[in-house]
Amino acid sequence: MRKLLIVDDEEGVRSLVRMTLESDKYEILEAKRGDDALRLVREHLPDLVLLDVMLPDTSGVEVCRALKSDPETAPVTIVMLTAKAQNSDLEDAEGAGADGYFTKPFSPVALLRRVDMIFGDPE
Amino acid sequence: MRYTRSPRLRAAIVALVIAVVVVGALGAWQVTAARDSQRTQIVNGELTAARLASSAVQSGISSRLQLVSNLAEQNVAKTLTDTRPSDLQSLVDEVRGLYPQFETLAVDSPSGVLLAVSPKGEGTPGTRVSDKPAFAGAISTGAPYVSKAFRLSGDGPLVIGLAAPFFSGKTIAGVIVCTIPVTILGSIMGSAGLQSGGSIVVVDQSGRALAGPAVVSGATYVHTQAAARALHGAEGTGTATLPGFSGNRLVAYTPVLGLGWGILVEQPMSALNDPIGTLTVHLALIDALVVLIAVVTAVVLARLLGQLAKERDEAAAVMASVGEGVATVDAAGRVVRLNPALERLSGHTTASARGLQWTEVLPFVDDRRQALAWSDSVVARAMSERRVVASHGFSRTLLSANGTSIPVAVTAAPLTTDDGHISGAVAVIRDVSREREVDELKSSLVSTVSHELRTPLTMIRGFSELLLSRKDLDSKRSKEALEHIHDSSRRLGRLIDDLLSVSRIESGGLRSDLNLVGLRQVADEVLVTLEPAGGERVDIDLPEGLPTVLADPDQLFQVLTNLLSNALKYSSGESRVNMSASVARDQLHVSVTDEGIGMTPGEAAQVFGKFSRVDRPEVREVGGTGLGLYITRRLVDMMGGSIWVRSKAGEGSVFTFSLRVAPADDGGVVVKEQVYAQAADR
Repeated sequence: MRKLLIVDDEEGVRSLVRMTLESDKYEILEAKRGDDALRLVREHLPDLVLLDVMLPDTSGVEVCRALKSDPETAPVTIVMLTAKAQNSDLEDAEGAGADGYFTKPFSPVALLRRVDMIFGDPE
Repeated sequence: MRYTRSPRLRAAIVALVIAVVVVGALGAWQVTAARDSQRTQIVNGELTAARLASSAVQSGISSRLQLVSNLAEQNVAKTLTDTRPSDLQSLVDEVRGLYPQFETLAVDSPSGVLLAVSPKGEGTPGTRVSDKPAFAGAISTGAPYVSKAFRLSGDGPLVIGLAAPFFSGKTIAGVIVCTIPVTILGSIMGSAGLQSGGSIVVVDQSGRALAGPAVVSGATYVHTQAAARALHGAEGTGTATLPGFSGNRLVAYTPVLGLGWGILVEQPMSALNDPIGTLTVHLALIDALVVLIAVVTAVVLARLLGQLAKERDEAAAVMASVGEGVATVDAAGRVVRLNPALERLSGHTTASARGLQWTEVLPFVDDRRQALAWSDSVVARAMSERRVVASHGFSRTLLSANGTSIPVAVTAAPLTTDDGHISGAVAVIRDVSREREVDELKSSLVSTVSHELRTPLTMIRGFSELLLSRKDLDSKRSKEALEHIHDSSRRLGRLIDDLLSVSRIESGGLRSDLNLVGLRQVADEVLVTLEPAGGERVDIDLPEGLPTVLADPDQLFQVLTNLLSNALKYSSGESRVNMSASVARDQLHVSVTDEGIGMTPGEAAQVFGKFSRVDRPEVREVGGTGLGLYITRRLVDMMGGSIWVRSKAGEGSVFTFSLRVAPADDGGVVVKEQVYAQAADR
């Protein structure tokens, strides 16, 4: 069982990710704010964090930077989930140490495939 | 706009007036000078004529006197003495026959008795002639003598006597007297006349005129100064009235030497006035022409200067009234002028800025807050590149003298002289604060709308794809997915409605159709639609017998929906939302009270603005376009009411709006139209 954390302020998005990925392979954790995300990562050390850029309390990029600069949480794979496909955002995410990004709106099938690929077990 | 007359124009007019006066004075001086010169010329001519006449008279008379003197000195005299009186007559006749130029020839005794006269009959021998001027003169001087004019008989012609004594030893033995008619003077003077008009008057020692028109009247010149001076041997010219002539005459006088006579030459003043008059007329014409040219020039010049002054004033008025900052600089980049708009913008005045460097007066910074060098300024570039140069976008900020930073757009154009030299530049500096706000608002709109569009789209697409691709979803999850799709599509619908509302409000396409409306009825309808969003938390607390209000029912519905759903959105699920109403004079105040997150005074001040969203996590968590309260305010405005908020952060908010109470019963239709008209005016 791998642990995945989805961080997004929209309940619908979290619900969609959960419905897409929840299975006997993945356990899904949810956070809607940056501070909740940091707390959950330190608590559970998930295998993958899907991190929205626009969060109510802070930017997802900042959360990413905080996680990657902490040796304890740095190994966690972080994929930015963003509605903005602008180059500057992607550069910011890369600079903050993100491992990849996924743009909204997204296809659940593609998301599942991507996550499976990250963990190296293609179906 | 007022035009002031230029001081230069006034100076030009004064100069022209002076020029006209000077030309007039010069003309007058020329006339006077010409008159003097002409007068001198005329009187000099007269004097010359007088001298010529004098000389002719002197030589003519003297030569005749010489003849008489010769007769007296020659033996003729002795012969006469020796001759018997009876033979004397024939001798005299004989001699006179030799000298026909003498009118008469007489011989008198030393005692003054006429001895003989030829022709016979011009006198009676034996009569006394001692009182005759010729005889008297010769006896008293003992020498040849020319007498004044006299008449031989009472009505005889005027003659001049030429007398010479003859001697016997040293005693006078007798006197020979010859007479010549004064008329002979005319032929003596002959060609000594004047070239132009006028006449010559010969005056004898008694002042009697001997020749000329004056002779006829027998005028005497004794009292004429010119004649008196000539008789005293003086010569001169002048203006005088002369006996026998009318009016003032130009006179020259000279003596006839040896005779004690004088010559006067006179001409009428017209001799002077006629040519001077012509000259004066010519000069006056020339002067008039000069004055005319001067006046025409003055008028043209005045118009031209007036035009220039007007254009300059117009240019100044344009500079002064243009709303954008305008500055002119010289070729060295020194400020020449700032218009009032730029003075306000920059905090400098033309007086304080003139002559200072451009960058000193108007320091610009770029978007990285770096000071802009002179060579990078659009003004310097406009001059060096000889073309109009403009700053890009919002890249320039002006640091004003009073410390504010103003985003500006700068456009500069070079000023070129006629020969192609760059004499400076003119720069237009526009305050683009408003545009920058609009630009930021636009970015905010794009960002908000794209976020608000993408989120529901993500869910619609994601959940529908899940439903289509995953066969393993149970019915509970399928329903959940469908509910998300449904909610998202409604959310999209609301967003589009809001955007359309804003667009229609802003373009003026939305109007209030005011009707008599009951508040409770509308509130109940709203409550029904709010049920899924927590409508059960709303308490409608309206007193009985509320008056009907003037409102557009659809718009009132939207206002209440927005206020109540906001109250529910920004408060916890346990708290209550209250809606109440009260009458204040002719207004109904409707309040929506929540116990939600509330707002700071700063947030409350902006809450009715477009895309205004309070920037706090609790608010961002809820989501929204920031258009709801803006639309609400505009709708309330349109219905003739107003809206305001009382709020405290962390404690909740009270939004209150007012509506007009409908007048009781009668005239409802009329009132409706009036209110509609008022609402439309806003």
